[in-house]
Amino acid sequence: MIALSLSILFALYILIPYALFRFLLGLFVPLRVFEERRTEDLTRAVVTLAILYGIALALVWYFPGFKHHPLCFADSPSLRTYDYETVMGSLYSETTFKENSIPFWGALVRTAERQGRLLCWYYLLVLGAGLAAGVGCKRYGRFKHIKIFAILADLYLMPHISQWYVILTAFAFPDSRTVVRADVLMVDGTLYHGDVADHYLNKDGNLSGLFLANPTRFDRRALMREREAWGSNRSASKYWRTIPSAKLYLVADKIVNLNLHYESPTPTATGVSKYLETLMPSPQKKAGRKTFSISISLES
Amino acid sequence: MVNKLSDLAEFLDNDSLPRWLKDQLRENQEAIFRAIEHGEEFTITGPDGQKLKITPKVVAA
Repeated sequence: MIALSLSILFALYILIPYALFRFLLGLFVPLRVFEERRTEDLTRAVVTLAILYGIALALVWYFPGFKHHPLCFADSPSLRTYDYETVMGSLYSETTFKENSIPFWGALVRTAERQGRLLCWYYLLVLGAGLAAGVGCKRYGRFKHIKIFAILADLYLMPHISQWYVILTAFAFPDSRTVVRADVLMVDGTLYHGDVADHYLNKDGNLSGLFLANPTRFDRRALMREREAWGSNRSASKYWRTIPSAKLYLVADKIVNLNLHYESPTPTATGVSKYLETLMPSPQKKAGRKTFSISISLES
Repeated sequence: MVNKLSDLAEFLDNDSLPRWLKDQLRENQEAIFRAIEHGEEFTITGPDGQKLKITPKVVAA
């Protein structure tokens, strides 16, 4: 009986709230498959839920509005102690249960009402946390420079969000119009280029397919033929052929590698500055000196 | 291995300039460094006529 009770409590206080949190977060972003065996993930989930549980407990104990609603009844500390002792004793021993069968049911109903009240606020807090995490995910690129937000995101968002979503969308960029361009090399040696329009994951959370918008294919055969036939040294960029389709679907199993490039329509001074650093003449680069600082302004 | 979301975001963001801008920066790198060294402004014109002004701030040795 004790084992059954503990299982119910585990489901009510850990499994259901965790599922609720992930369900709500999953409405905003695709989630990573939860790895039950990863101790770090489990610990983080339990610690986070314990904090929310502690807050719910404090609300129910100390704040009048939460103390009596919902499931209000006349309660007192001594009645609470009596109820818990009766319920626990009866669950532990069948003899005690037989002796206290009538008071047991009354105590059980009151205990259920108390726990129901606590669970109600606890689940609401969990839903609030899930909602906040979801909104945080949607605004990640914009808020990532705020230190406290970045720390919380590292702690609570990273373990949940699918890494493919972060890599293949504008998730990490302040400007949601950022385009993810991909060069995709297939197992048969074909090279495709296009804008990542959408991606799909399988049940294990791995990439199962990729939609490319404005797709082009590199005509390697023509390049080799022309080079062999007449030693052509035309630029390789001349061999990209437009594929007459709005979107090209590539099966992930056939992809050898992905070369990704992110193009934000609103470049930042930091981005330009970092790129200029890579172009900096080598003596200065070797000396590890950054000799400039710039600001940029973009006019349409 | 990137374990933090912030590290991954920074890693992706590092190289996120539009291709035309990268090409322009690469093609004009000498002129840009010269302009920065002399404290002058340098303007790059994009394919759609957008203008990006690079203005040197405080020059630190």
